[in-house]
Amino acid sequence: MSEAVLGFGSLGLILLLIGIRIPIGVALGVVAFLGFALVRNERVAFSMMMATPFEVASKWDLSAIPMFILMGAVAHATGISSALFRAARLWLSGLPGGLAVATNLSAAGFAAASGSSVATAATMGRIAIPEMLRAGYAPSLATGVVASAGTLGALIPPSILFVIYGVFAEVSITKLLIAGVIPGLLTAGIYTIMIIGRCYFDPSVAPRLSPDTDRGELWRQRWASLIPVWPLLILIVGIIGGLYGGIVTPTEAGAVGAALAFAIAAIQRRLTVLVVRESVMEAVKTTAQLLFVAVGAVMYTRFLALIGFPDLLVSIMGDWAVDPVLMLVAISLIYILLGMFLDPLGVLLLTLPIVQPIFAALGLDPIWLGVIVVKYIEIGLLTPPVGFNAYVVKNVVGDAIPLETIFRGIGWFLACEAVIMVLLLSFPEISLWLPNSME
Amino acid sequence: EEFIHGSWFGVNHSVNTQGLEPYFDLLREESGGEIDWNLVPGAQLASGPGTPEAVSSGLMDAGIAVAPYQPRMLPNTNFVFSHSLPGDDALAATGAMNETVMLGCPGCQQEYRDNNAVGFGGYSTTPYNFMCRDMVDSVDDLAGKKVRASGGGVTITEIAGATPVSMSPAEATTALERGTLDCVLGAVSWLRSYGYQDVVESVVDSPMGMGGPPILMFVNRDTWESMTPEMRALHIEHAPDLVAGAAYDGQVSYDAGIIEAAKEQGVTFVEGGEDFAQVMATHDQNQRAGNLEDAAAAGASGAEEVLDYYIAAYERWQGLLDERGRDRDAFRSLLWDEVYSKVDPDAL
Amino acid sequence: MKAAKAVYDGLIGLFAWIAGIATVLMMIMVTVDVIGRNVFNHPVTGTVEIVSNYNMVILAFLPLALIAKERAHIVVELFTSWMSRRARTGLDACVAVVTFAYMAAFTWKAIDIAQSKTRIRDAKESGAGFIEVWPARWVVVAGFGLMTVVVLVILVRDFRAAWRDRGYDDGGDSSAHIRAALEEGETKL
Ligand code: NA
Ligand code: NA
Repeated sequence: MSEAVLGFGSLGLILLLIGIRIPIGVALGVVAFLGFALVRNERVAFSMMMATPFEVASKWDLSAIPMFILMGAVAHATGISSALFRAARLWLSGLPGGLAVATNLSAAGFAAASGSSVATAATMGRIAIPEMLRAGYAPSLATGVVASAGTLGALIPPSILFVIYGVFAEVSITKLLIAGVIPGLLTAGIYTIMIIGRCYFDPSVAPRLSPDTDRGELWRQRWASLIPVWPLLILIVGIIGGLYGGIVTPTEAGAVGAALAFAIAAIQRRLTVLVVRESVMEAVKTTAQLLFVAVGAVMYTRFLALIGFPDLLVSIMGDWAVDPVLMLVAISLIYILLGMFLDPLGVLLLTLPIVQPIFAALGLDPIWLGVIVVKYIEIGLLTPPVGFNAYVVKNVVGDAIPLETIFRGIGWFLACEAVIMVLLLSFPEISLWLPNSME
Repeated sequence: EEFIHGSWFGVNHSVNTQGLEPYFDLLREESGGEIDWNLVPGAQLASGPGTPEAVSSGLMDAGIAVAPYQPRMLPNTNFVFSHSLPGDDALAATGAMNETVMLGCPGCQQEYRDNNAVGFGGYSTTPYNFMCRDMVDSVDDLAGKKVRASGGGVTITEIAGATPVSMSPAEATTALERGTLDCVLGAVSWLRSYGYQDVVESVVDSPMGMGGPPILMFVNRDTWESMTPEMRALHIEHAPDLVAGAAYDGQVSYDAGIIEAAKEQGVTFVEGGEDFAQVMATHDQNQRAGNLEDAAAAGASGAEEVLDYYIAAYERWQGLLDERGRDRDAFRSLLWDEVYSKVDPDAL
Repeated sequence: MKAAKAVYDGLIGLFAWIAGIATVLMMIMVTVDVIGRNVFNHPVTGTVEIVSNYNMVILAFLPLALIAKERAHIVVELFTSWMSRRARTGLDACVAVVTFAYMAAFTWKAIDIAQSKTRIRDAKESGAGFIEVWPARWVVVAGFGLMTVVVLVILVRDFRAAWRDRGYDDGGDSSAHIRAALEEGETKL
């Protein structure tokens, strides 16, 4: 059987299994198992099942994910992050879709402390989604903005994903982290423009809030709202200071950030047994849930590697790669396709061996490539069917809002991503100006 | 039929580009296309620690096995690995490692068999050096400094009065720049592969131990046995090309360019004094007892004999290379004469 | 029967609880290592190896049973939302057979590898010594094993429910506050 039949056939089978309500982690794993049994034999397929789960979970780099989720959960339970949201809401109340804009910008602020985009989405989701729903916002907008703005967590430093990319691609992590700043702010900016525009033209998705106070009172409230934001500032300054002062590595930043959040909560006398228990359980459950999908995704990634799927993509790309512009288009299509089905690690493993040499041959900067790859991985976290950020938001809303609504809401932000990617691909300076000017 | 070699080294790593790929081309050519290895790089099929299992189960036909990642699966090879060789003769070290693993360490070959595999072909890293973010030119300068180290480097760091820190070499780049770390004890090639040349000020050019070998051809036993005797013989016949590619082209002659580039970027290479030699000598004296003890605990067999063989082989190889010359061809022919001509491909 | 249910619920809760403790310990260990390295020039040897081989493994596998029990494994409902509740419950029961087989195979293979790692006393190098990591392999067995049992219990329950058309019990409504917010929002419109 040819690589094309196996590769695209297996993608189709995954869609089919997911369509009949098989858990996504199971669907990926079962298809990988069948693929291994077919291409090699069932002994190999079983030994894949034997080796993969432990290998996927026992990673030091990944330990930052539960730690950042824990930090976010404590920050939420003790009101740290809702103070940020309240301030953003008051300051932005005049804008169409003000609550969604507030969510977006709060996520950008929280991203300066959180290194993980799922952690950022989980944290912002708990505060912002109920608020937006209560204000009559369309569920798709309320959930979509949280899932999408969560990706800022991996663009604005600190960022676990940039660290993992740096490890695999063997490029300077410091430069990568700096390179993410402007693309992160650009993303937040374009999201903001889209939200305001959409809510201006279609007020039904985000009813305007009529301020129940006069202007003087509003301004008083606005200034007052800034005061309770101090604990988050301590968290951000602590983490960024720890990173740039050489006290913690980006991986350790999660654990130290969580400890700092606990300390702040204790000082505020808000650290109850209930807060600890719920925060810890959120970190535990979200991590286990995502890693269960990741185990299936890694097995499936290995199946694609085994049948030479990356080579197939290269040969399909072959005719395009003569022109750098078409080459970038082809690379984009590959990332979008793989990002739909794989976890971040799987996307990295399969694509780096193809894309790195192409970039090197064209003399393009690997730091720029890092930004592009991380952006595409973040887009992959938003696209169905395997979209971790959407899953995290689904966790927040439970049965009340279906996953499809979340993905539908994300669609608007994916349209923004198309604009952002065209900008990042056309103007490498957006990514490279800051790291290069630091030297 | 196509064989799959899953290398966990990145696509541009010199072991892939200088060692494995040319070796596979050679085999393809010499066998008239019958031996067709497909190199899948970048840990797509298995990580470093996962490689021995992935090979023994047949997920891939071969991979690169690094014993320190699986010290209890490959205790004998790990024992060879854990002994840091003094000096800076990486070619002699590579020769001694291949000779020991293939001819002087029956336990090594046995543990490949136990894991349903066949193993051959390895190389020595060039010696580890202290590479620091500040100026370091004496052992005293290292006092209290935080040094990224692993394996035998941990004790070397301690003897030098510094604090060993465990961290991935890639994460160390940021850590060096920010001062989370002061130094890395590692190979000069890391200056390029992990970008240390941007963040270190000094490299102490005093050899702090060489280690190895990673087993470049850790081959599934069923795959190996499915080959004709001629195919197996070709693999062994050209094993010296693989080793010379990885060690000579991929390490020794590679480093020169890296050092050149680093100097241009302003990294100072300091001639390490007697004090560094003393640290290494102390470690060399101490390591024997400690490593033998670990080997016994891990279940390695005949460790004393293996160690004596290894140390003697390293000395002998220095003499052999002095005699025959240190160019690539001389090195390759020595590998054949001293090691791989004596290996029976059907008895592995 | 009552006793069996108590053991079942108790074990699922206990596993999740252990994972929670491992998470808190992870935070403490890494923080202590950071403080040790920076303040006392004395990092805690083995932090990286213990966190990745024990804490991460416990936290990845022990909560799986609880997630299954709460029906929180990630599922896409796009193509089945038109179905009746009874049909959907029946479909769930049928596809749960796949999940059950998958988890049973995982458990079986996890036992295989745990045995072989125990035999060789699998360890990782850490600093100048070794850290035994083979016990962590049994954590995978426990986590997968209990999840397999939970999947089986739910499967049987779903088949019964579909048969008698009673819908299924999805373990309580954890999203009541979201529903309330939705309602409040609608009255505003
Ligand atoms: Na961030
Ligand atoms: Na996706």
